[in-house]
Amino acid sequence: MLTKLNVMGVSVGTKIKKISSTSPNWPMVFEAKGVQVAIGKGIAQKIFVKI
Amino acid sequence: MKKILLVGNPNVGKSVLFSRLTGVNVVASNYPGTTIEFTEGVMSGKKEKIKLIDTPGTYSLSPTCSAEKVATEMIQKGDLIINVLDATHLERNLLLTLQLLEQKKPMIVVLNIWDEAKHKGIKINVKKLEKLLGVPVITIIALTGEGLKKLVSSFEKAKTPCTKQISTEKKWCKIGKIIGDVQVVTHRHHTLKEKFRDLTIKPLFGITFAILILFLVFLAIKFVGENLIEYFFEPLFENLWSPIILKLSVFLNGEGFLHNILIGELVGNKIAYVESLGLLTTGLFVPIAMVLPYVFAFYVFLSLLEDVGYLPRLSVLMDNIMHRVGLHGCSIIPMFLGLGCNVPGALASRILESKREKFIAMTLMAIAIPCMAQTAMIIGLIGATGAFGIGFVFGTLFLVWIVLGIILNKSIKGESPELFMEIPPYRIPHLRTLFKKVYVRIKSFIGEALLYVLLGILFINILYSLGIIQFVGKITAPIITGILGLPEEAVGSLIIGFLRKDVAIGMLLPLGLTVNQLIVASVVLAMYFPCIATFIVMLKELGMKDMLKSAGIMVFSAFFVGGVLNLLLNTFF
Repeated sequence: MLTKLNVMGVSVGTKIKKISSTSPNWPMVFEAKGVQVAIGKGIAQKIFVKI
Repeated sequence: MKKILLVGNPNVGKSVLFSRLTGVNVVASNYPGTTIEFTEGVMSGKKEKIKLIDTPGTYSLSPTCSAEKVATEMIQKGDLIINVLDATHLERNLLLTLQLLEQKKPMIVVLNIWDEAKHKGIKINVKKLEKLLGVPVITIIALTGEGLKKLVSSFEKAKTPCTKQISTEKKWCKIGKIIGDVQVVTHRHHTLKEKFRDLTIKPLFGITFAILILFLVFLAIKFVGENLIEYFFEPLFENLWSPIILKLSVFLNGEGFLHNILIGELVGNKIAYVESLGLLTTGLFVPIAMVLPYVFAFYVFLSLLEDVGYLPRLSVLMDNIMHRVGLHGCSIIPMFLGLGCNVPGALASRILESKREKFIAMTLMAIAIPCMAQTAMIIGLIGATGAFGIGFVFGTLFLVWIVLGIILNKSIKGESPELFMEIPPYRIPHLRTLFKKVYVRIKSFIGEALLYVLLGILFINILYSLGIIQFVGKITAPIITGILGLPEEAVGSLIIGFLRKDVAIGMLLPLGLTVNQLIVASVVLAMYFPCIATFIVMLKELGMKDMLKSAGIMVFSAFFVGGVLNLLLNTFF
């Protein structure tokens, strides 16, 4: 997952904009460098320290 | 022949460009992962013929799924690489470009979707980019064909870059510098389309909107399909085809082996197109007049949803449910394609990462996702008895999909990977591309359906005349009659269902079944085994061992569900 995010230009320190993530187990949708990406909530909680 | 490869990130317009340059019609959509296998086509260069190869989209040269693996393996085989980039997302696309430059192959960089970049206020200094990358950079709009002449004439100017290999981290630093040098983005506020894009992915509004959209699509398919049959195809067969067939029937003396094969049995000196089981009657009427109208309507609306960019949003909204059956949101795409035809559905499961996911997705699709040909026949056959029967059949299949999915998820070792999907922007569909895609799909349906329907009808006629159907009917009577409550003759449908499910359902009509029997037979026919075309694809994708496992699950669950349905329907209705 981290490699996938990396190849899309999302790495430690990249600024992202949260689009949707309201209920538990719901995928998180964020915008980074003009691209919207959906990732599973479980992995999102592990990756993003500050949301 | 010189080989040119089209390589780029997913959903940047490679397939549209390929189709434009070669004239080969390929399916292109507004979501990542449409191309899962490479496609070859030939185009004319200035001096010679050139082989153009469209590869699946990949974010980097380190593949993460089987489709990306195809792309990375192809790179060594090309004489020239055309790296297609989305001009609206230059920064993200440049990582693959820098990796490709390290391959030391002649290369051209193409900035596609140039019009949208301008609309978004993105200005790219092409000359500067060309200098920084060391290869020619061409701007195009693949959908309209703008810039393609310049692209073709620049093939000879392609340069072999001399770039040193650097780490991914350093590549991102380099990309940052390039972007700073060549790109200027004018600040602007969110447009209405962008606000709507964000809204349709939020749970509350998104799910309500999805239900509304899917319901409207269902109504539209039904409306278009029914009207095409009633006002075009039925009159066409009745007024133009029937007189020819009746003359042929008289010529063949109205009976005999050849008459049975070609025309089948006449009912009251009239042609019963569904019941007669002749090659020129049922063999043509079922695929063309009963199934094609619904297939056409389905593909028009599916293509519309694909090109607008709605399917990836549906994937996000369905992710939670899909995890319960051991899959993730992206699996909704193969399932959706399977509603049209299980073959592209099974092929599309290549976008799924693990073997476990592919097994669950294909098994669930083969069991509980009826193709449009089958759906059309179920609507035509059971619809005449009211909405109850249709609701019961599809309700049962949906329940089976959920319950079996949960069982498979719990019983197969491993976990379902997390969703990871790029969501494309909403785009207004390009009508020419949309109808080209519908044409490709319809052509493939007609080619495949007609052949298997005719083969199936010929096969069943031979089996009947040799008495094999009657013999098998007697042997299998304890299951067919005892458990499923169907007459012995229904075994003919189950045999032919392996070739074509739509003909198999049509074969139930002359048996004079009750509504309960029709429901049981339709559900069992949908579930017990995939048609031969889907079977071949599944065998190729899953391998013999997993295919046998999947087939075992299909047969057991079909007869179990059929038996339970028979019991329930005869007790309560």
